[in-house]
Amino acid sequence: MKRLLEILGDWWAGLVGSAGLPSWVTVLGEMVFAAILIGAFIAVLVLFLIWLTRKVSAHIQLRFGPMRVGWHGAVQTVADAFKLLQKEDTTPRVCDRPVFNVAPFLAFAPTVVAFVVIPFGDGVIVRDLNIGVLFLFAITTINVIAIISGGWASGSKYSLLGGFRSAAQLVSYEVPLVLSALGVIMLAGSMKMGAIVEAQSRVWFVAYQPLAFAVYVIAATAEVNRTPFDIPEAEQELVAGYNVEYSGMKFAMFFLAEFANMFLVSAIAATLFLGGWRGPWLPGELWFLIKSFAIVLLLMFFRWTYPRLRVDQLMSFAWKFLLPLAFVNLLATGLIIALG
Amino acid sequence: MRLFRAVGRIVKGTWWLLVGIVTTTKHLLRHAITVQYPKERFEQWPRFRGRVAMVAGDDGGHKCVACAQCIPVCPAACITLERHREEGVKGFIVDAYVIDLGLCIYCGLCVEACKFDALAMIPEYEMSVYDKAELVYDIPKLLSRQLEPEFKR
Amino acid sequence: MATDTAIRTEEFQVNMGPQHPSTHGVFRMVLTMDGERVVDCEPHIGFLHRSMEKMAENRLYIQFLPMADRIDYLSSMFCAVAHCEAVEQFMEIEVPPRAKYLRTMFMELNRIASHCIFFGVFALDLGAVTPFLYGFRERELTMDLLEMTSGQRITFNYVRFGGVAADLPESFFPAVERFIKVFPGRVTDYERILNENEIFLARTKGIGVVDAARAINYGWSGPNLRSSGVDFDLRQNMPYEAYGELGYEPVVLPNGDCYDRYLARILEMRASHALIKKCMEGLPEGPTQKEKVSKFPKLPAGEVYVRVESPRGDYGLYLVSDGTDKPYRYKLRTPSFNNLSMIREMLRGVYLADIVPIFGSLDVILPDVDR
Repeated sequence: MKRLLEILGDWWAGLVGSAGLPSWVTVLGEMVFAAILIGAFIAVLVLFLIWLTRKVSAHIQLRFGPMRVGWHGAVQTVADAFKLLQKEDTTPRVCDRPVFNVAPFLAFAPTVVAFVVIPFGDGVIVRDLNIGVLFLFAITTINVIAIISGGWASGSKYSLLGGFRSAAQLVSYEVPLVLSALGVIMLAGSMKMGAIVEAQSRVWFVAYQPLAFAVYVIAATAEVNRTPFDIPEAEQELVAGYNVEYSGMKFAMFFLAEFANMFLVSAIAATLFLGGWRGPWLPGELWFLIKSFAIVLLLMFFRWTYPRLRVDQLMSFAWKFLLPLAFVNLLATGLIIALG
Repeated sequence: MRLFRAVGRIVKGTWWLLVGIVTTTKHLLRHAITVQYPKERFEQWPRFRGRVAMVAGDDGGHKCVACAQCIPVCPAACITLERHREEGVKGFIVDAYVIDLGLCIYCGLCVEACKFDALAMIPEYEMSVYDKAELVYDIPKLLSRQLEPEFKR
Repeated sequence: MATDTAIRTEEFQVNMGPQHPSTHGVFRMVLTMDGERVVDCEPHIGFLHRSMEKMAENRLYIQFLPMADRIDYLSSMFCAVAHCEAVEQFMEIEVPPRAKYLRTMFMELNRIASHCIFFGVFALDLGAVTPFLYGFRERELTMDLLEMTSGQRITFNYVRFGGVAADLPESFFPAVERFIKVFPGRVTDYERILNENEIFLARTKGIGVVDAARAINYGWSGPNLRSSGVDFDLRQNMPYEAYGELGYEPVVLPNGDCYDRYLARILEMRASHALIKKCMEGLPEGPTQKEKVSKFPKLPAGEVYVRVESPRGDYGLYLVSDGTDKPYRYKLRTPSFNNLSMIREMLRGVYLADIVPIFGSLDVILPDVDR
């Protein structure tokens, strides 16, 4: 994979050079190529993830799940996507139209951008920024704005309630999430994703940082609005939450963002704690996917096993339990680094 | 001491959360209990009260003698019987016997009331139609499907 | 709760229901909310009113028999047994012992079916989807047993005046043996998923607490009452059918919160399972239907009150006859109605998210409330 990308890059640079174009064209071309690649990856990934969710949930619940379209319903999600595309795109009369229209894209865009710094394999990374982790957490936070604006612009109190709840939750869980990642950064001594993976060449950080890993997984579950933290869309209370007024493609965008986000947090967990693409025998890209999907499956099991927490319990859990835990972990890590 | 108890609670909580996951995982490996409906179907029990049918006699015709025992027991009043007497013939002649399955509540009381075994509940259950008029079953329609009924009385 | 220092918030109204996924039918609540807190709740019932009592008064006793199944469709057997018992008391007939045992067994099977739904729906109300389907799986087992005997899965129409409609089929015996063997393990699965789950405990412990005095004052009955620490179960206190011979020890829990109301039903499932086992062991031989019982009875003038312990509580039927073949008055005392009557008081001051588990833990069913 790395070789392939290098050959492609060289060929492109040669092409641009021989055509006598300025060097920024090279970069632009590379970026467009990366965007297409990531876009395609996310599209396929989300289709697969939705199918996987359905299948896993079905088999946990002793059902079959989709079986008709394709082998064991493999193309069901594609069919559903087409159905959503065909659907009438309703817009409530009382909505704040521009915000209403922008919100789904605002939800989806940060997720795509965040994939820029995810190392899929040895050297298979769009830009190994030296503030990679910071960039990740900064960019994924934009999601909150999308959700709250979606809830606000719908002009319905149910979606507004959902949006507010969601914003409160995402902001609260952002803190333990970042703090748990901080321990890893201290151990690696770098925010560069490549360097973090490099630092785990012998032992995965999950061995040094089990507490941080636990905190991360819990906070990440909350970040992607999964049960037991799916307050924003609590069907039984809010019916659907912030996206209740959306339909058709815009709803699909929220849906897409949700599933892409789920993979994103799993990929981050795999990179920060489980050694990223490192692993014996198999190619790095495969190891990365295996590890990420292991976390995704874990999240799915959470979702299909546990009941939901209440809003106030959720908040006190984040601030009174997870945050101190993350701090204790940070303190311990710092002490050990300082002493040893 | 309080810290000790708190840690104990966390351990216990985590343990039971794990037990939950293990339970669901155990179910993941079991075989599904649902069936792919139009392709496969569950076998109906012989007593299943699907719909009312008339039992054919030896000559292939119905066995109804127009005694009208089934009519007063019907809670939905969905049975219509038209009968008349003829000179020299003992008993009634059945002109029409119509059951409106759109009204029927499938209780099976008419089958129990019938002393001549002319009615039976058969395990047929896919009866959705586009037109309600199709649910009005007259004698040929009621006789159209003959199954070995077990649940007579 | 608002103090001078707190941010002043405006109260607003939220409409919940009648077509809300977790109102167990069609129940409407107009909630006055202060943020996430409920200030007041105005319940609206009657969306499922079918005028069952009046329908009974216009029908022969036998005609209403299958309809009694539809009063509370999750516990049809109980409604039908109450109807038949009332008529039998008028006619002064004694049901053969085998029929008594069969009625008892099927009532217990029906109770398990109903509690399975409760388990599933309660978990679903709290956001756990999977237990819902596990609950329905066990419900299928009981439904199969009921179907192979009576011919239907929900509206059985199995009980008759002076007995039951049919004896057990051959296929019933292996099936019930399998059920008796399998069921406790399945309940253990339920308990593993929810009973000690920290999230579940946080959501249900200490939520919607009702003490014994309040529960009695509001006329609660059934598992709701018993989970508030009141030892009252018609199966023990006023035995009917075969309960007197079988003996029954009610499940009584002390706390009266949502968790205890949930646990009471889980334990009752086990108790019902034990009763079914006892029924199968002690099933007497003999006829299932008393001879020469009129299909169209003309009941003597008078009145009778029959009580049955349904899965939801004390199901009462007050039947007045004026000597004709139709009831003069057919008054139902349905447990769900009384259990629901406290909802307004229970919901004041709780969080929005707690409405659903509190309402769910009462295990009311709207056809039973509205009739």
